[in-house]
Amino acid sequence: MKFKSVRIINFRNFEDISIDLTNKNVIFGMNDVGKTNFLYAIRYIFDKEIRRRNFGDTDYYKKNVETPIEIIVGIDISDTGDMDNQKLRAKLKGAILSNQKTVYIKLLAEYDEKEMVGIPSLYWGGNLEDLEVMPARSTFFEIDYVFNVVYIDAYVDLYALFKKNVNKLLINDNEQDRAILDDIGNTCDNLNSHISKLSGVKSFEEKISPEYKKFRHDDVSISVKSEIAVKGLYSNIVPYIKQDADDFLYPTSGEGRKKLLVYSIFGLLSQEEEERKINIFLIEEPENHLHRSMQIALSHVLFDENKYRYLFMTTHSPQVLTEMDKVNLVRIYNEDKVVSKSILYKVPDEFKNQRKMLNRGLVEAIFADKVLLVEGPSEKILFDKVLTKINPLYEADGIYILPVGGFGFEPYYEILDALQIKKIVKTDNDLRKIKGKKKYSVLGFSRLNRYIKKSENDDVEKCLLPETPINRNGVKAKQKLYENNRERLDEIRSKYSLYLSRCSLEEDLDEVIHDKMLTYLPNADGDPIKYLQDAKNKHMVELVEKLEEQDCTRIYEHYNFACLKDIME
Amino acid sequence: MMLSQIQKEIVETPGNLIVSASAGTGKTHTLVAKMVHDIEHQYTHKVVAAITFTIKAAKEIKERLAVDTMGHFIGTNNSFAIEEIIKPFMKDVYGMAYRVGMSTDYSVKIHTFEEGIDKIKTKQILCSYQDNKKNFIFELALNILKCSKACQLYLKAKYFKIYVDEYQDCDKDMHNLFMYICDILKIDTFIVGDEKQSIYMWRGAYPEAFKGILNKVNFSKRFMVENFRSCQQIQNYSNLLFENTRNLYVPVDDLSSVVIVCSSEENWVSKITPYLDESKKSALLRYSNENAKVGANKLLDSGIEFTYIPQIPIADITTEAAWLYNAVAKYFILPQYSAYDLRDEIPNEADGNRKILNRIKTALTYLGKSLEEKDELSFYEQVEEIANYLGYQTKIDHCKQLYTTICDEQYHAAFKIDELKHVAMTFHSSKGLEFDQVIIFASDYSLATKQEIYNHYVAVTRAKSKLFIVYVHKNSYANQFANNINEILEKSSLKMKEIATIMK
Repeated sequence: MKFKSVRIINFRNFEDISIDLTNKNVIFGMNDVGKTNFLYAIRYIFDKEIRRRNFGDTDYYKKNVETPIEIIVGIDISDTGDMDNQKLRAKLKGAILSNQKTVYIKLLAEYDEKEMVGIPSLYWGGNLEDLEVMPARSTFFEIDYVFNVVYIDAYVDLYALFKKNVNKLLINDNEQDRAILDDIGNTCDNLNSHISKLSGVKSFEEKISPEYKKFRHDDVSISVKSEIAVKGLYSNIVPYIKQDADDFLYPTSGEGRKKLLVYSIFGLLSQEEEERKINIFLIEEPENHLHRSMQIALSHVLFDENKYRYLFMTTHSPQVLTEMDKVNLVRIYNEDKVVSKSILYKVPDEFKNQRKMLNRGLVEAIFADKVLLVEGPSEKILFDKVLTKINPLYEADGIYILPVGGFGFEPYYEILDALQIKKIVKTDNDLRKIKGKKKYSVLGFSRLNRYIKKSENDDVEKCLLPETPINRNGVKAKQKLYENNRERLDEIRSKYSLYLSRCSLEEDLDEVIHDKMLTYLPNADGDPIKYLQDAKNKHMVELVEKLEEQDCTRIYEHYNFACLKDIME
Repeated sequence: MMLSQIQKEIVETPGNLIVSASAGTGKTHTLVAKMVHDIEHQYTHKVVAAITFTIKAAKEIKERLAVDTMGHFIGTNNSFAIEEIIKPFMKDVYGMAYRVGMSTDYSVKIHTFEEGIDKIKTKQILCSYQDNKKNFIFELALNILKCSKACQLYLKAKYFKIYVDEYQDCDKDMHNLFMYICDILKIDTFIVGDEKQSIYMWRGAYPEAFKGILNKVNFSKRFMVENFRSCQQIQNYSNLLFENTRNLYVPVDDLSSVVIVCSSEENWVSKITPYLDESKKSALLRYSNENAKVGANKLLDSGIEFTYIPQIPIADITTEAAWLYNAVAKYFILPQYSAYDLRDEIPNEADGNRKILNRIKTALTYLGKSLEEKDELSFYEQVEEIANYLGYQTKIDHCKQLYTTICDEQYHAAFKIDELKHVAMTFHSSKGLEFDQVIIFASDYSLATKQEIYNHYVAVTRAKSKLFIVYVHKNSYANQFANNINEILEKSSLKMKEIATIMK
């Protein structure tokens, strides 16, 4: 079973939104753009408990109750060997025909002005234009036999969850249990008869009854009992944690521990259902209360375990996404109305083994509004310093600097582009010797051309840079190449936010603060460029520590680093 | 109830299985035990289909199943073909013009397949062939199943096993459909039946199908021959009728359980009564309703409380609403039958739907009023209204038949067979029932054809401890019976007097 799409019309803050889906979906975006409402849309379709609440007028987009709420989910069930597809098909009956691969499930709720409620009805079938009414018994629809929604709130209460499901979790129904349960019953009776013998209890009971009777002459007396004897065994059982090393019991007090226990309990409960139903996990901000490292551990479970096959998750945490792969990234954001962009993110095969490394930068970047893509860590160190001097809270304003390192710009550029996150690229003016020839290909130019070609502007051809190999290598050659094409490069800067270094970071920086670099780097022997290039990170840190505010302003204002100004605007 | 060795084996045998079960061997009991076993050992979403020939048999299975039957299909063969194949998937093969609400009316006759298809399009009616040996519903269902990939996938996705009861009553078209489901869709199939109990060959039943499956390599086979109902001597008599079971004959010393009563048209009653134990249940089984009625009166005249069970007017109704007429009749005739019982009979309806229950209660109250006031027209209207509410169509003739069934007390006995000590009826309506003592007439069975022998087998195996075969002198049919039974017994080198008491 493969989730394909969802369309939400006139529901809460969605006027009309269509999103491609896959089986694992991560929904992210600023606060209050409607991530939770998006999950609600999914829940209204699949979760009978939510559906039974019906819709109030405030559930209609801008209270527009003239138009019905519509939520339509598309699911590909063409793989006939897949058990989950069979579960669905067994209920679909003739609603899907032989040539149809996708089943659409649609919720429709017209608002009833008289009753002041929108009652959802469900439809399904293989032809979106001609769906069939889904059979139902009062509020129980056919899909409720098929799907089991596991909704995990950001602030789920462990004890309430345990209590609610204690009958499913603790099944004491074998032969010996009956005798033990009888024993427990007797013990409780004993306990209570002991309690009632306590002098304090006796005197309380003697005094309280007359007090009560002042209010009401009921034929009653008041006694004090242990709760377990009154409400039953399960009313009084709670999970404790016992460390393997000692015999003491610890209350599951830490919020982080509770949270992990909550996930474990949901895991057990869903296992029960899995044989007969399809579990859909809806998880809200799982990062809450969890330490960074636990978030990473949770990420592994969520993205690798088969149990969470169908996942819709909202999050603000990059760590939760550390292990992501084959996941649909859904960014919900506000323009003049709430819109969304999504892309299926799949770790490219060549980077499979470096999944965590590749993801590390990306997961930070997708939470930003603007991303500056740079070559490596040296750029990140320098630019971070400069931007911090200009605006100490620049990251909070949604700006992120992403060093692409060995992965190159490509895997990142595409995803950010698809998610409509503004991206600015700062890349080196690289040359590479052509094998067996005394010629050098213009690598930096070719790179820019690739991105330009990807854009949808109509004057792409006009902006392309010449890719004829040149005869020389070295700093001078690079700078000359730049100058020869400067006009066009400037146009590319303004139109595409693609910034080519005149040469590379160190040379470009040297052009701006050569004098200062000589002072700040006494060990450089008068050649700061070589010194910085010898031990890139270490020496850049050394320089950056010494940079003063006015140095930063000089860099920020300089043509060579105009990308910084661009990202701050 | 415990299971015998062979029953246990049947319950536990996986895969395709055919069981040949002689009368009284605990067939339904075993079928139900097997279903429970299979359902409890099934850990996916898949369900079973238990397919019977009558609504009554389906209901009996439902009641006996101790597991939750929610989601499982338990119903008649026609409703399986219609609800699971024709209604949902006809449009997939024949086009959207066939996405219509269909109802059945087998009193509408057609001559060709095309005519039947056309009736669905123009009248939304599923009808039947003029030739009652051909089965339009199953011919159409198989045609749809073969052409619709979606239908095939649906059945495979939904069912892990199909159980077909009374397979000897299947006609060729039913057999073809069930074998397609088994052999092509590879859904495990459990078949139970008894060739010897084929009493419906006149309307197309095709016992050869059952025998054919016994030869299929993809089926395991089991035989249930241990009769828990009839005493050994009656078993002997019934077993000697067929080549396959002849070897089960076990000689007994006491020959008092099967009695050939040689008599005249006038004195058969007085010859039997001295030997009839009035404290035990007994039945007079005849070929025709008329003879059953006459016989009942004669027995009554001699002082034994025999009640003639007539064919009830609503018995012939074959539309989908048949169950509703039956249920309404039961509500007004049987004091212990409540609105809840009626609700539970709604096919494919979940338990506990309050809305429906309230609606049924209201409808029954109005119906009661109409009956009290003898207001036939309002009664018809009320029946139509509740039927429409539940999604069924009524016909004015059928409402009339229902009214008669309820108002004419002579029909009430048909609903109380269990409570009556002594009954008289046709042997066709005695199928599945049992009595301590059974009286039959030799002249009803010439034993000249297979069908006649099967009929005779069904009639005699209703008896637990005593079987009277009335042999009327100078009746040509009785003579034919005598000649043929002697010939049959001769094959085992036995004579009638060696296996029965002959009372001159």
